[in-house]
Amino acid sequence: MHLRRIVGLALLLLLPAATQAQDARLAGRLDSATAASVQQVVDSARRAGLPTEPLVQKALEGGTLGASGERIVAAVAALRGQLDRARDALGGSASEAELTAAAGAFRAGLPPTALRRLQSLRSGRSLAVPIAVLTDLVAEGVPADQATRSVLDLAREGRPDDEFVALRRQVQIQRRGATSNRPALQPAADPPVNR
Amino acid sequence: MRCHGLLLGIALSAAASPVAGQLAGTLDMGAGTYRPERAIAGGIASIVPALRYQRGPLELSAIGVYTDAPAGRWNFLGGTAALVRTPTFGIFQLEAIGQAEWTAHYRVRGTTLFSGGVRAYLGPGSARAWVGRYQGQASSLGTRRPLRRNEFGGSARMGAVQLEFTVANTTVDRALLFGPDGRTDTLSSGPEPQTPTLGAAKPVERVALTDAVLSGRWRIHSVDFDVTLGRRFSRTTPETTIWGLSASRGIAPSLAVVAAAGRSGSDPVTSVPGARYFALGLRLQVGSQALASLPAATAASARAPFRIGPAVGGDRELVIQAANVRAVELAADFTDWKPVSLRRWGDHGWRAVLPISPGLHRLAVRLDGGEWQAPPGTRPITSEFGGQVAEIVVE
Repeated sequence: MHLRRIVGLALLLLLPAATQAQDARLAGRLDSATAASVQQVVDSARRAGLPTEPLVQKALEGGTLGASGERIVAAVAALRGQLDRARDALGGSASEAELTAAAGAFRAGLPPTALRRLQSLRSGRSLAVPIAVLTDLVAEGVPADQATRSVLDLAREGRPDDEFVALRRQVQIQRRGATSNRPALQPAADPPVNR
Repeated sequence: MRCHGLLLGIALSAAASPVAGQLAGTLDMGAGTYRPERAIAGGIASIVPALRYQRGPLELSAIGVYTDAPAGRWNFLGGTAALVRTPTFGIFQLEAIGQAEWTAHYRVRGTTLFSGGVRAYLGPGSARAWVGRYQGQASSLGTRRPLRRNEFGGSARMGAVQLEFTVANTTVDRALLFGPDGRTDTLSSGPEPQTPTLGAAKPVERVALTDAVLSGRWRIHSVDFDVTLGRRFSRTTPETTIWGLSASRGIAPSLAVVAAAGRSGSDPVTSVPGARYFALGLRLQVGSQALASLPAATAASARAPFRIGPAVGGDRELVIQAANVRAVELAADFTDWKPVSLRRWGDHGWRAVLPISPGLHRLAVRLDGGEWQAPPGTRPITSEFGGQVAEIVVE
């Protein structure tokens, strides 16, 4: 019993230090100044109760794609803001995957109300795939209200995740053009004329 | 012969593919004005059904255009095409195309056109160039006309704008109605039947023309715009400028308003005249968006350029088709964006088995140490860091 208290106390003391320590992945892949700036954003997200893994991943993506330190820090800070908005929209119980997907939805210009309506229809089931599909439809060029209505219809019918993914594939094929290369509404021409 | 066998093999394998076909279509209905060359201008009404069916590398399409023209004259144009694509060999892909087009008119004999050919594509998915060669035969005004067409073109996505250009050179042997003295006749386009009385020895004129066409597609405030601008260059037919502008905006699920205007060039192959037009109408999305019959994403074709499927031990198998490369690397959020080398898999495949959790993932691939890019067959997303990545949903 005594030993458990000691271990518990030690963990309490060590926890803040551990959380403030720089993520080893950042230190190994970014220059020290960039890693430190990213870590500050990560720490502030952690203090605000936001998921930090998407922020680290964003920084690592920037590192792999060869972005400058400034650009990486700006992208990570922007994502932190989007995660904040995502939690405001979906509530504190939203998972990391849901918040990450919702942040992407905001980047695509979708309003929080669309995500809240989706949440109300998917009670108890993950929102990550439906939100990701909704975001992708908008990126594909489907008008936001039309894409939202299609996704909400599926959610209302209680469809599983794979049917949302199927909707995405169907729309991609349709957007590639169901019509021919012929311009829209170009009339059928008159009969041939010998010149 | 070998080529025929290859095409047959591809077609048969498409038919045997586990991937269910995807059908999409539209129905345009509109009204507007129509001003044909050397004929009566006036109001028109148009109905335009179009369907496209895709199954693996096979794609079939059909279109019909019915136009109720001035003075009770109606015109119909029907077209159908079949297309088979080979798998992508790195940045190289081949396409075989066969197409037929025919017209019918009020009390006047119509035209037919059959052609077939191949196109070779070069480049990654977001920007590529092609060359093509076609041969065929047209029937019009009681004569058959062999035609040949060579073309090259390119397409690229620049931000929100999709641009494409094509330069096509067409030659057709055309029998003349009258003698080779340069004097030719202009038949009336009125309702009386056209039955030219050709002599036994038909003088033949070889017509050559080059069409250069630039087209663009983009979206501004929920409105999709399509613009086409082209110029015909020829020593044997009149040079002309063609253009088209159309805009569509969704007003309800599966329904959009469409407006279009333009000038279509005359077709020297079939002698169908050109026209100026303006039309306003509705576009109805045909084909169910009901999803029960759609295949699950995991039922991807084994020849898909990029796929993720289950592997032994709960991991995921990731396969990319890339021919003529020495190394393929992948970086993703599930690798902490550390490049992972893929191993050769079959003739042109590259494979890795990785632990990938279900959900949305972001990734990029690199061929032979080049630029990071979206895997072939996925929709490229411009990263805020400047390169291109893709987002996929893993079930």
